Amino acid sequence: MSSPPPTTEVAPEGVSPLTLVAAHTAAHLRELGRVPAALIANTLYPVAAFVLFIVPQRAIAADPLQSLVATGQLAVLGALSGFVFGYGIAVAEERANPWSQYVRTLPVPASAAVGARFVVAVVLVAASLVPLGLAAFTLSTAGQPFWAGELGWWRIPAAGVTTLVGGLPFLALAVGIAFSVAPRTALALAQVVVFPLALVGGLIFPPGLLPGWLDTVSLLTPARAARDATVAVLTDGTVAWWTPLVWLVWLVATGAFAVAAQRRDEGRRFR
Amino acid sequence: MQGAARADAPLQLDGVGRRFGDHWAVRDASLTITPGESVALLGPNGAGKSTLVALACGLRRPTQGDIRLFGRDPRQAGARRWLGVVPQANALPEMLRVGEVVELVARHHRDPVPTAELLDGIDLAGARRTFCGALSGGQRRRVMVALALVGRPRLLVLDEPTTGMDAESREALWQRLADHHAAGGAMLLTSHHVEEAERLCRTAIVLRRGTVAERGPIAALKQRYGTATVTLDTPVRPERLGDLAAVRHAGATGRGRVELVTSDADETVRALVRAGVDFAHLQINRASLTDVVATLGAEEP
Repeated sequence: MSSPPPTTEVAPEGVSPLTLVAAHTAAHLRELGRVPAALIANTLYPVAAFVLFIVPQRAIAADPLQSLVATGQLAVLGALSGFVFGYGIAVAEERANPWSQYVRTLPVPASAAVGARFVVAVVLVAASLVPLGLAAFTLSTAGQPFWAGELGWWRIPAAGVTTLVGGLPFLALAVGIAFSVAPRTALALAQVVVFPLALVGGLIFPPGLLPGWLDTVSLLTPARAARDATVAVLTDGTVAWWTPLVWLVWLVATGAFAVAAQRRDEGRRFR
Repeated sequence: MQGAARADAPLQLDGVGRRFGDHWAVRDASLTITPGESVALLGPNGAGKSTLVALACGLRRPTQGDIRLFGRDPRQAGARRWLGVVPQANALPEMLRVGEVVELVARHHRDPVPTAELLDGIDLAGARRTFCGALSGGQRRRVMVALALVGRPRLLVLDEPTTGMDAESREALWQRLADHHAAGGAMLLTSHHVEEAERLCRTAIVLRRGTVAERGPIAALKQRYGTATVTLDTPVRPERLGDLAAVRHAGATGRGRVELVTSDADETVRALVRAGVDFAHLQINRASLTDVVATLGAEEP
């Protein structure tokens, strides 16, 4: 940046970006809270999947370890789906609406406006993990090791945080796509990108079922990194030493993509 | 580029062009708005007004040239600190209350106008708790104006600000904008409403096909490019009046009257008298800004 222009009066400092992130987050949450239908659908998705696909399989539901693994896997799948389809892609619709256009004329860096979307997505996806946890405890044997004292209770919130943090590359990827293409294209593109990642990442079938070469590919995906880390935290397991590295590389790459796409964006594609 | 940007100029464009596909919406546009100056941006539809406004507010990036908003790139948030915008389309989140939206925008500023005072000033004090989605068109427009004013801007960019407002609201808004001007604020106004442009601005910029066709005081532009019409009852055939001073066109109206289109009505009337033309019921329509825009903004042959 060039040196500040010479002015006789001292310009007051701008408002801190964190204040703006907080203000925009509060406004988004308030707005979403007043139209709860979409909110409820996104919140109930992971728990519905658990009740429909895990609970009926007695072999899994009756085994504490398998129940925990399934819960962790669904938590990551739910976070991924919420980040991408619930909130990330929504940016594509919203960047074209007049209010979002107007916000871009305010003295707020685009990074703060996008930051608020990230916070909103994390808060709401976190909320969707609560009913999942309750269902896992009441409808499967996932709670047994905790009641028996074999696993520490701290693992539950820690696994939640791991899920959310592990899912951030997906949020960044979805926001990047949303800023790059038209809304309809964004949805299609997100599906094309996300479903294979979820499948290969072992979120739909357990990674144990993947053939050897695909398992190697799987280990390089952010979905697998998030899944392995969440399951490890939840069940006192271990992850490969480079799993966090895989996650970090993806986060940096998708984050850079999101920021670049957002900078390039001019709102509507046509006048 | 013509030398260094003037740091104190609220807005400066140097050779700015913006292309969409292979169409140049704005071409080689250069203009400066100095502190306290009110400028009307005029031109026919498609002349590039909205694109130019979007460029000035940082909504779009120029394909070529340089734009400075208070000496900085308008795409930087800090450059927009003293900018207040009323966009062409009303843009309000339907599910937020008026007061909540005003407070959200106020959070972007260090010293905002208190919400109650602001809403009172535009006669919306009673609507503070109303959802934006429940407002009438005119009320929405007034909220947009309130949002533009909340940060005590030094440059207001108004894109058709009074669209959808009733006469009373429009008058109140014009008064409010006059206060802004009196306090030393600058303004860039686009409007199809020439009365509005003349009321609020002393200077006009006329765009033609994306480029600045002319810029100057409105009064001077009218004198130079405007045409007046002189209508009269006379037994003289119109063709014989076509050579009178300043007359550009002479013709008959439907009611048997003669109409003279002239660049200077006073000069034409004097010529009529000198020539001893017998006339009655003289009527003069003075040059209007509408004519100026039509003349200057017209496509070149």
